[in-house]
Parts: sequence; C-alpha cells; structure tokens
Amino acid sequence: MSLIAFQTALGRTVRARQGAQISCEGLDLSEQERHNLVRIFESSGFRATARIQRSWCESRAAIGARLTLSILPLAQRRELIREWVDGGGGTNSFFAAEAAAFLEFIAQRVPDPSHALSLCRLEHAVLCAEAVAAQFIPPDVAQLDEPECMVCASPHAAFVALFAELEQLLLAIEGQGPLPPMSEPHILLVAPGLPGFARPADTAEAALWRSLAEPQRVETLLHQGNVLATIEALWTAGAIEATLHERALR
Amino acid sequence: MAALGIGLPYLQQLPLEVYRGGIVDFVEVTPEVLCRERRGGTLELLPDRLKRAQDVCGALPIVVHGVELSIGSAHSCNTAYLEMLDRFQTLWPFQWHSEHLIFQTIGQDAHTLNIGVPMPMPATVEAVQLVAGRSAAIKQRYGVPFLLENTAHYLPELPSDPEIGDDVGLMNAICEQGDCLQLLDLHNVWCNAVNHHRDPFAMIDHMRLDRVGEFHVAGGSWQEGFWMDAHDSRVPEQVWELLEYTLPRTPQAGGVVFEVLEEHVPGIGADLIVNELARARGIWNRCRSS
Repeated sequence: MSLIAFQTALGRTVRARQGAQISCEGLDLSEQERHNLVRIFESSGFRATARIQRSWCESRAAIGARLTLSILPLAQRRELIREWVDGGGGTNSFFAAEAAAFLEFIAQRVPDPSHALSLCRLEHAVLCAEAVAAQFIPPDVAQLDEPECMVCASPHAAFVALFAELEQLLLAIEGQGPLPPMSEPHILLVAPGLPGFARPADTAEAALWRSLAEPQRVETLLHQGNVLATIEALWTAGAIEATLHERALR
Repeated sequence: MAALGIGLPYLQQLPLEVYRGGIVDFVEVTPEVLCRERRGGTLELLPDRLKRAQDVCGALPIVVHGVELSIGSAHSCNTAYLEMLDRFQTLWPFQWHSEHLIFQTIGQDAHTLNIGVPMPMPATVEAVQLVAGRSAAIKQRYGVPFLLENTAHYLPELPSDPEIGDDVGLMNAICEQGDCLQLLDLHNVWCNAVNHHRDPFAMIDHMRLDRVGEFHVAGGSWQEGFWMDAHDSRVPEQVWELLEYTLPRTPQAGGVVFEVLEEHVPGIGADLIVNELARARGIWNRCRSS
C-alpha cells in the first residue's frame, strides 16, 4: 500500500468519522488493501482514536469561543460545536487561528442583532487586538501634525455594538442575573493600545473609524469636521494607524 | 550528545522555583507554544512569550521538542515549522531538536488538511525512505542532533513490509538511514505494550539502544479499555522499571524528561512533579555511575 493512499484513507476517515468506503474514494488501492484498511477502521482502537480526535477538536473550539458560547443555551452551544467539528473544524492546534475561524463561523449562525452576536464580535475583536498588543508602541501624536500624514483604520481594532451594558451581560453569563433585554447600542472600542483592550466609545469615534476603511489625510479629516482630539485618541489607542507608505517613509 | 541530566518541559503554570535550585538540569521547549499562526500558515514567534520562557529557564540549557512538523506526511511536512525554528535557533540556541515519528496532515487538492490528532506511521520501506531523508536534511540544517520520538497509538494491524517488521524496526531503520537518534518515550512503549499485548522488555531488546539520545517518562490513564498516553498523572511503576532496565544500556543518552501536559499541571501539582524529577535523578545518577 502506498504511503499516500494509507495516510489519505486514514486521515479522511478519522476526520469524517464515516465509513471506509467514503474514505477510500479515488485512492489507488487493491481489493486486499481496502480490506485491510476496513479492518483497521472497524477496530475498537480506531474508534478510540476517532473519539480522541473528536474530543480534542471540540475542546479547541470550546476554548476558542468561551465567552460567546457561554451566553448561549447548552443545546445551542453543543450544536454549534458539533456542526463546526463535523465540517472539519477544531483541528488547528494554534489557539488564535482556531478561535478566529470558529468565531467567524458562529457569527454566521446567530441572530443579527443579538447579545450572542455582539459578544462574538467582541471576542473576535479582542483576539485581533491581543495578537499585536505585545509589539504595540503608542505612536507619537506629533506625526499627525505633518501635512502629508495619511491614516487608515487598523485591522487589529474594531468598534462593537453591545445591546446591553457589558456588566449586565457578564452577570447573566455567570448566572447572577437574567439575560438583559435588547436596548440601545453601547459602543465599545477594541484596540491593541487600550488597557484590557476595550473602552466605551462614542458615535463620532465610530463614524471616523468607519470612514477610514480607505486611507485619508489628517488634513482632509479635519476639513470634514472631525476633531483633532478624536483622531489623536484613536491614534494612541492603535485604532487608526499610518498607511504602509507612511510607515515606510519614517 | 552532551549528558545534561534531568529535564522538564517548559510549563507556564509551574512556579519559577521548580526551574531553579538544581531540580532540573535542562528544559525541553516546544516552540509552537511561543507562536501564533498567521493567515497563510506562517508561524510567528511572539516576543513576549519568548522572553517569558527565557526568563523562566534562566541559564539552563534547552532542547527543542516540536509537535507540528508532521515529518511523516507523504504529501509534505510542515515547512512553516522549520522556517520558524530557523528564527528560534538564532534567538535561543538549543542542544538538540526532537519531533514525533507521526503524520498529522494529509493533502487534499492543493491544500493541506490537519487531521487533528497525530497518527502512526506504517512500518514500510517507503516510510523509512521518506522520514530518513527528511531527518538527515533537518540534522544538516540545524547542526545539532535530531531525535525522533516513538509514539503511542491504538490502531491494530498497521501496514508493514517484512524487511522493516514493526514500529521498532521502523525506528531502527530511520535512525540508521537518516543519521538521527531516538527519543525513547518509555510511557509510549508501555502504552503500546498494554494496548497491543506486547512485551515491553522484548520491544526494548530489539531497539538500537546505541541510538537513544533522550528518554521521556510520563503518566497516563485508562479510557474506554485503552491505556492512554495522557500525560495526566505520575509515572507508572512499570515505566520506572523500564527506565532502570534501559538507561544503563544507552551510552548516548543525554537526559531524562518527565512529561506533563500544561492543562494537567494544576491536577498533578508542583510537589508531585518535583518528586518524580527526584526519582528520575536517582535512577540517572545510579545508572551513570555504574
């Protein structure tokens, strides 16, 4: 049996946890080799291996989306994890990569708007900010005074709308209070330069950040009516940053 | 191989004192725990995690014990791991480098699929040639000894060629053809002996003991009728007996490491870990002085 056929059949079957016929499709295997593989797949040792794989994948997913899952009913949590792992998720042993992918999956499957979606976006945003926080050095605000300075929204920052006070949501998660009703949005800024990576934000900050999906000159932003203090606050938090071209010049 | 003595993995939850005061002689570092994976698969060493690990290890020598290379994957091993290890070595040189004799990825179309658990290699000539070639290249690349760890598995009747035989023959042939050494994990030998009804001493008798460069001892637990390589408890008495039996016959052995998984550190506790390290040291001293 060729090494690649053996590994592909075994790997596919452990991942799929389905019958040997499916796992052997398209592989160059003799009848005897298929028979030998089926004997492995039908063994108690293979079932134990598949259960270990399943358990590891479910654990990786559950740890990666701990906050979001905790606000969902137990049955829904289990269903999301089951669906994710059935689709091949949970196999990445790098926490942040696995967590980001699972949170993106969850975001497609919970109602919009909902507390669950808000927490999902918050958890994802914190993950992005945390990834670069150790290397983040608060930039000098004097750079913003340069007439040619171009800035854009940082990919490591986000504005997240919560439809209740965060404290109320956390109390509900801990079982110390009811799930609060959906209210007017409370905007949080999540960025690598903030203590704890998050703070309350206002709508002017959120609007400015959204307008910086495309780079703009600071001068232009001021002409549009933005306040320098707002730009500086986002700049020092790491929510906006100099464009790549700007950084290359410095 | 330098004879370092008694080692412990770098465990973030352990008190600093465990790595000081002569309890351990070297630290086994898994560089992947100091990394994050970027989109596209590149592994980025995180400076803060690296610094924390270096602070904990202090002046102790380190060895590398990787988990993401997938050296046995027929389609390709993980080159991103090797690129990361290149950078790691310039920042923190290591005495030797080890990996597991397994595959954990398969190819699908132009992509790599992660299986999610390490899988055992078949004892075939093709497997020997593939892994031996990669091992020799890795030894050349880093200029330090490269070791492969025998693994525990639960699958019966893996494919094999008569000239290779079994998992012991597979490791022997790879070490010889790939100019590498074996990281002999005695708990994995014990697992395979229990789960596949084999004699662990006979397995050891068939090994190329002159090529053993390091030992692992660890604990496990029963699940669903199998003794699992869980690294969640103290070392079974039978594994200590295997160490007493094997260590005097391994002239190249550079050290004995007590393996514990990070998530089981609170359950096992620092005191028990220190006790197991002391027991390993007693055996090491006795065998090395005789």
